[in-house]
Amino acid sequence: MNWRVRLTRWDLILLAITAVGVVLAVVRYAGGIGSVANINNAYPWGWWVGFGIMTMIALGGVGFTITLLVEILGRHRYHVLLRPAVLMGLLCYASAIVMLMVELGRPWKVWMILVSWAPSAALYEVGWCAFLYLNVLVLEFAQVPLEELGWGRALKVLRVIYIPIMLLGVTLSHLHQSSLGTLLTLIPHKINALWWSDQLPLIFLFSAMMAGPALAILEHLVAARWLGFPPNMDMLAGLARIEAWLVGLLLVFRIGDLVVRGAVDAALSGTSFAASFWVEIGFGLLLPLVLLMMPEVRESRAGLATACSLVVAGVLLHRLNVAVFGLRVRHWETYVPSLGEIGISLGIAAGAAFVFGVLVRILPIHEELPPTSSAPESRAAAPAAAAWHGARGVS
Amino acid sequence: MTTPSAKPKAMIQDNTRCIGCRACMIACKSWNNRPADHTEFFAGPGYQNPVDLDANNYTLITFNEIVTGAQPDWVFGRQLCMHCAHPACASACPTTALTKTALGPVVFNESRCIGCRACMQACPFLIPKYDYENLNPKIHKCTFCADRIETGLKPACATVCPTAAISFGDRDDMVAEAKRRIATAPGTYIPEIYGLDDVGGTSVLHLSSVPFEQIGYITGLPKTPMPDLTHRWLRVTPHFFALLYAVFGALTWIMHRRSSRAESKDKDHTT
Amino acid sequence: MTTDRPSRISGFRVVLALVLLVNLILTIALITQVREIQQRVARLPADLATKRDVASLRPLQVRQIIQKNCVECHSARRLGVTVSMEPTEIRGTVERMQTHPGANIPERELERISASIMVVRCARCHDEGTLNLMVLKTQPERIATVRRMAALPGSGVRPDQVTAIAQAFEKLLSQ
Repeated sequence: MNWRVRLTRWDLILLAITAVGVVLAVVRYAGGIGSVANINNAYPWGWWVGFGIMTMIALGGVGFTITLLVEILGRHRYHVLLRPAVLMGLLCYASAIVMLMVELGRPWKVWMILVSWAPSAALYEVGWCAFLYLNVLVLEFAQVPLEELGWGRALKVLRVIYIPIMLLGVTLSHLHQSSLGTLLTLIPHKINALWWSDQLPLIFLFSAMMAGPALAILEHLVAARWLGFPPNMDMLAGLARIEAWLVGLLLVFRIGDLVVRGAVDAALSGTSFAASFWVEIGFGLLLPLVLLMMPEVRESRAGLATACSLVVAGVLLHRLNVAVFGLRVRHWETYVPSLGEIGISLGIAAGAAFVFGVLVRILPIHEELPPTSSAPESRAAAPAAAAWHGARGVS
Repeated sequence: MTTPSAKPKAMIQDNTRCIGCRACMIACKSWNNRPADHTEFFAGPGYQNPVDLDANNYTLITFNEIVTGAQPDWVFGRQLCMHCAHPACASACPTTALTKTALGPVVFNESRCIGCRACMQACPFLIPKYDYENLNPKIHKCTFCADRIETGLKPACATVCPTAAISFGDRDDMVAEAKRRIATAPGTYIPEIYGLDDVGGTSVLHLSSVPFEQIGYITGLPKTPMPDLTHRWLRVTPHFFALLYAVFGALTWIMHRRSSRAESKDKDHTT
Repeated sequence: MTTDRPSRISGFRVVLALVLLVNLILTIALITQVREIQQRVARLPADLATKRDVASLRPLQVRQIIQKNCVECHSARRLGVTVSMEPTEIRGTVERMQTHPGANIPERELERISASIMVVRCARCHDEGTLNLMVLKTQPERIATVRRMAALPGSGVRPDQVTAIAQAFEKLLSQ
């Protein structure tokens, strides 16, 4: 394991942003939420929930989506995306939990969820599933550093339990991604007709699944440029085709849901809600779909980067629209995220990005694996775990 | 003092008798030890003060100028926790900090609160409020004076109302009384009891001389309990879990067999 | 496998595909809206409001004003003499009534009472519902209507009284 990492200026920028976030977080803890945030009684959930928690968990879906693709559906063509995806998932969920510690009014009591029994509360299910899933992600990813450290016995244990916990992780992800949507089905009278739906759980789940491959493609392209290896454009083109299907299906689902609920007139009205809706659909679904359907886009780095960034931005905008912007409140009530809120959330994201950047340089996360599926001595282990074997073939 | 009956309680808020004196607001603050506020007059609709419920004001009289004849007249309304039969707040709370008691009140156990504010999002009447400036913040809302009614007293607001606009008793009696008032004075009341079956029934029944949306009430709510909306998704969680785990497990095994069969085929070809 | 240079991404194709997609969505949206309107129109009741229904939403209230201010002291029959009075005579009469102790006629009601008495002469031929239709007209239309009525034989209204009567209607509406 190469511990020596030279910090680039990107690292320093990320650290600086993280530092700002830490300072603001200290202010939050010293002075209460009201001292840094604009959330109020009309908007109890704001930027922190919309971006810092809901979007982070949606983007963390890259972990279970790529795992589903590679390990469960057996598309080993994409195995090189698996480690980065799981690491990104781990960091996204960790970021969401850190954000939660800032966002909660009493974060020191968060363990109460684990000792309560509240099956009627969507947040209860989200809390438990996210907690368990974070553990799963840690156990899945731990194979990489353990392999580097050469701790063979611990590694063997992890490999034995890999299949069951991998299945557990993917299943849990389906549950809590959809439960975040279930949470918001409780307030049909409060969310604008453009975003409330009785199918919100499915919309949340499908949009998280759509965000997964997009984020994986983006990461591969960025890492290729930053770490200096040639991106596997063939593989990315294949994944982009799958992504096109996912975007198209979600688009049909969203529009169909709008039509079935009779909310089309809301989309055609001249309100700011309608404008935000069309920006979300247009830039987050329509434009990426058009781009990803074109082979020349799928084979071009810039094209893929653009299309996938738009998909990710669309998911962010959707979460913000549903949880914050689309709320109906009385006419004198307003909310605009404060700089403190944005600063803390960006600090957390920057911190996660910094950790990611360091880990990809000291651990073999992007190494290309040998073309054959497994070395003979690992035949005893399930071939599904072959994707995790490093190039050094430690057994 | 007679032994209090154990039947669920309810309150009638008769807005035709309300004179807007706000004694109920004072009594409530007094009983719940809420501090005085520095407010800004005319910050919201008319003479209503404070503008909305908040961490220090658990009930509020809304001031509304309604034109019923030739001239506008005052019609007052009251905002307070409705203590629903099927509270959305209690169903949304992940730590069961809000619970519905047998006597009617939805009570808040602050030792369990983690400050997630899901109850604030869930409540269709927009009741729970938060004290964001506090370093140890918690949810604030009307308690129905649960501690008072347990000993047979009436809630503070019902006790001080000078015009008997607030009545308190067993819910069955209160429903019957509300219906009786409408039936015997149809010109005075509109034929609607706010809270009778809204969101599945509440413990506070409001009567009015004008439509409720004109005096600051939230209307258009379904007659079915709000928690039903999430319940139909959450109750299939265990089945969903088992089904997905089985399906994914089966898929993994099928794919494993396929790839190992392909491997052994390769091995045969190379040997 | 060698890959050729990726072909250029045609911006034109992107825009074209986007426009087609947006058009498709808007077409679906419009179809649903048209269907909804069709359903709503089909659900409209067969009998719609008449002019009288609309006018009765903002009635002149002539009878109520006279009832409230005059009939307490003397019967409505006493008003019969007013149908031949000039506008100034009516005004003077009401002002005289105001000086009587116990009359309780508020100052601001003076105009309305005089105007109400002014239009009582129309009740010779028309019922309250018909008079209410004046509510829906503009002032020039009201003047033209009164002039037309005055020209009818047996109306009892002189041409020079037309303006005063039309103004009385206007006063009743502006309150």
